Amino acid sequence: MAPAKDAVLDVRKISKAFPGVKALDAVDLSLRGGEVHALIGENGAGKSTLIKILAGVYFKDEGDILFNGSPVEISTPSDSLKLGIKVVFQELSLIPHMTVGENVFLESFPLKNNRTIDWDVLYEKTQDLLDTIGLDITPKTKVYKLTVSQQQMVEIARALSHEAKVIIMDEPTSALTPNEVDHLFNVIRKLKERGIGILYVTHKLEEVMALCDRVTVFRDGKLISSREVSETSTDNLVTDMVGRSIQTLFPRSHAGKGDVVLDVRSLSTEKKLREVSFQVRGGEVVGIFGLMGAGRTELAKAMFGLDAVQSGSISIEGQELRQGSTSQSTRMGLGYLTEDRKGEGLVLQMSVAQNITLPSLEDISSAGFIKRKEETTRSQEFVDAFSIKTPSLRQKVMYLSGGNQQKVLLARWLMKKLKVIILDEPTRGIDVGAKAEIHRLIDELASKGLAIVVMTSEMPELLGVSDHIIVMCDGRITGEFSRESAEMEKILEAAIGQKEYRYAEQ
Amino acid sequence: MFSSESSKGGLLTKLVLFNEIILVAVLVVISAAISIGTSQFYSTSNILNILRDSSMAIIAGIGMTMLLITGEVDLSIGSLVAFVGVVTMDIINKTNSVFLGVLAGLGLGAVTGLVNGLVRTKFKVNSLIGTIAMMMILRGSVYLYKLEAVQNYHQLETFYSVGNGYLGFMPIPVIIMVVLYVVFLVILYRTVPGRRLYATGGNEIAAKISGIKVDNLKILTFVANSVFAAISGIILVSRMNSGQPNAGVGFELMVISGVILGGTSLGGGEGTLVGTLVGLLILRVINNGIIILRWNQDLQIVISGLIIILAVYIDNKRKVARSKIITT
Repeated sequence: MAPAKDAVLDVRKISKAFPGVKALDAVDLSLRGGEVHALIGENGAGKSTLIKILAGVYFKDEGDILFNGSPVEISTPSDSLKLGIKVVFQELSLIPHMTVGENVFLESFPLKNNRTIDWDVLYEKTQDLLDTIGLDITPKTKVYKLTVSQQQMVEIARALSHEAKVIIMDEPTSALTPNEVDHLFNVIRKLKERGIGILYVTHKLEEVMALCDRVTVFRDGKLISSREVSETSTDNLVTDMVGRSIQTLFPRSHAGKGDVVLDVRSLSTEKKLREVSFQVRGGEVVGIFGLMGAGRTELAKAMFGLDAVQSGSISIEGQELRQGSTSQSTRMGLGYLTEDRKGEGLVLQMSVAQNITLPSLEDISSAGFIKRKEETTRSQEFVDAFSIKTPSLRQKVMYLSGGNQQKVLLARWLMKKLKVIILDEPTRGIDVGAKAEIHRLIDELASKGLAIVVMTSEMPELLGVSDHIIVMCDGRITGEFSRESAEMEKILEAAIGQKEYRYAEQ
Repeated sequence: MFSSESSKGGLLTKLVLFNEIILVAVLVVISAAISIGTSQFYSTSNILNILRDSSMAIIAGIGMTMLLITGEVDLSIGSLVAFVGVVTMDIINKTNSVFLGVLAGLGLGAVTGLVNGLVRTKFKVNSLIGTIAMMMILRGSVYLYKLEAVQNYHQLETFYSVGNGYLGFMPIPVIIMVVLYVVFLVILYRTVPGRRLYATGGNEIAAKISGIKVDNLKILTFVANSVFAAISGIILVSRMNSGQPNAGVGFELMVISGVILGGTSLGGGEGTLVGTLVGLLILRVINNGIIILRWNQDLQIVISGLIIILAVYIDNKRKVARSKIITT
């Protein structure tokens, strides 16, 4: 496609391969100054690879990068910064124990007589930047005290201090509340007015339609389409992303319920949880909703035995769980898919097969010896069933894309004969196609009688997947709804802590 | 087996990832170089010497490899070797029984390992610090126990043959080493506990979530490591024919650097016994070379020090090379 005439950043025929996978295959992208350009695509489509190339973290195998019309080489992060490209990653790169001002001017401190740092000027300039963005905090605040949304703003201020001409944002709203998202959009609009080009990488198509001027779709490392947002629709985009038309959400097919399998009573922890009680029946999906800091993950960890519990009890099929023993939890049929799949879920240096079979080693071994053939057969079943994209079962899991890694984790738990499974943000950072697959799997599992707890911060997922909804705020349960009685506004009110909704089971 | 993968990237990157092959090549090259320097190197007796001398390090290396794989380390094995030697000799002298002496030595090893393990899992003391402390405690204690070397009073035949005997043409220490090596090779790669070691070192939380009793596993590995070191200590005391309180100084550093040279990572989750074998052989061959080439023997420790730096440098390069490949 012909590059736009006033493109500030022009990427042409960029390719990049890693062992076993071609991450980018001759892709093009052009970004104009003053435009918000969305980059969307399934996991493994190549978006983060491209960002990392632009950020100087990876080096392209082939292709050209043009900045304001002239070819440039980006081999290190400092090359990228010098050009005026600033990437705001999902994992923010601020130094927590330093102040906002120190972070904004890190590596570019204003100097007195070229020697010592001019702190007055530094904090003055920081204040100016914060005012421009509309962030209401003092520049001397230490960054660790800020919310994720505020930290994001600090990153943007940092970009502005470097007079960035291109700002690339990677999944910026995944950790933000709706209000904070609005604020971010306002800031982005202000950046637009200054002629800064913004590359906005996201999974959220509503945001693309609301905020962006143009949208580019990648699939399997290739450029699929690049259009004005006004000339396309979410359905078109989904089709481009997935290569086929699919229904993004589907209702639960089945709601048969058995006996109570999981019984949580008055669970309290030292730091967060306060008297949390609920029950999950076999074949039922309980969705737990809450904003950041609500205590969902704390609940999951406490239920599983990873964290200490102060009072209360957890029982599976009537048998009480001893606290602090994860091996007992798994033996009793409780599975836990963590929120932080790389950090806590996967053993990255191990292969796909080894990760899948990790909790089930006793089932595939005899006299302590692992039966290789059985390991291979069982893992292959899951790889086929879930369409996990991997060159082989022996491929180390670190080389897989995020969505496929998540499938490996899901396969891991499904390989065990579980009674209850806790899924913590099972589709976060996963593309539309894989999301639908995972929802379908959840449905299937429920129809097999499994008790399922899904923790999510995505409303559509919550409403689509749950039989019974629980809302948490600040470590307490503030709302309970059945699938039929659930309403978005009420759920949100409970999540903010404004109102409490109790509901009696029919 | 955790074999290395290749990738696009600098030559150095590729090299460090083709680990075992490079190591064997290095071993061959160094051996060839020494052979050129002196005809003494390539003779049956010298090779057997090297193997016998390496057996202590390699036996300890088996335990150390497993421990490093779980993400822990043990710097006390040198002092333990001395303590075990002194205690074993002393008990044999007092009871006239090799069996009891060996039992005492192994028991001491097991207890040390248990303490190391508990300090790490219950007191949550970093294993580097914890085992340095143990190293000091053991070294001090052995002098408290016996100020001078404990001479072999009874000169029992069985005891002598542990370190100096032969089965056919094979030195007994080499046989012990081979047996232990093969057994643990199988355990590490084929059994459930072996798999769990890698998981624990690779990602402890993931291992816990998968139901692995991580603390127990670590304690067990610490015990195994110390028992292996005790076995080395028993072979050593037999070789020296007396329990020396100052034995084993620097032993732990040599073993650890050989294991890391062989591809086991300080960070845990990676490592092969094959690599350890070759890594330690390289170190031992270099030492042997220095002796038979009649170089200044103090060079041994200088070169060992350089190799430690080299080994950790390569380990870091490997880590970086691997992380460059990770996609999100």
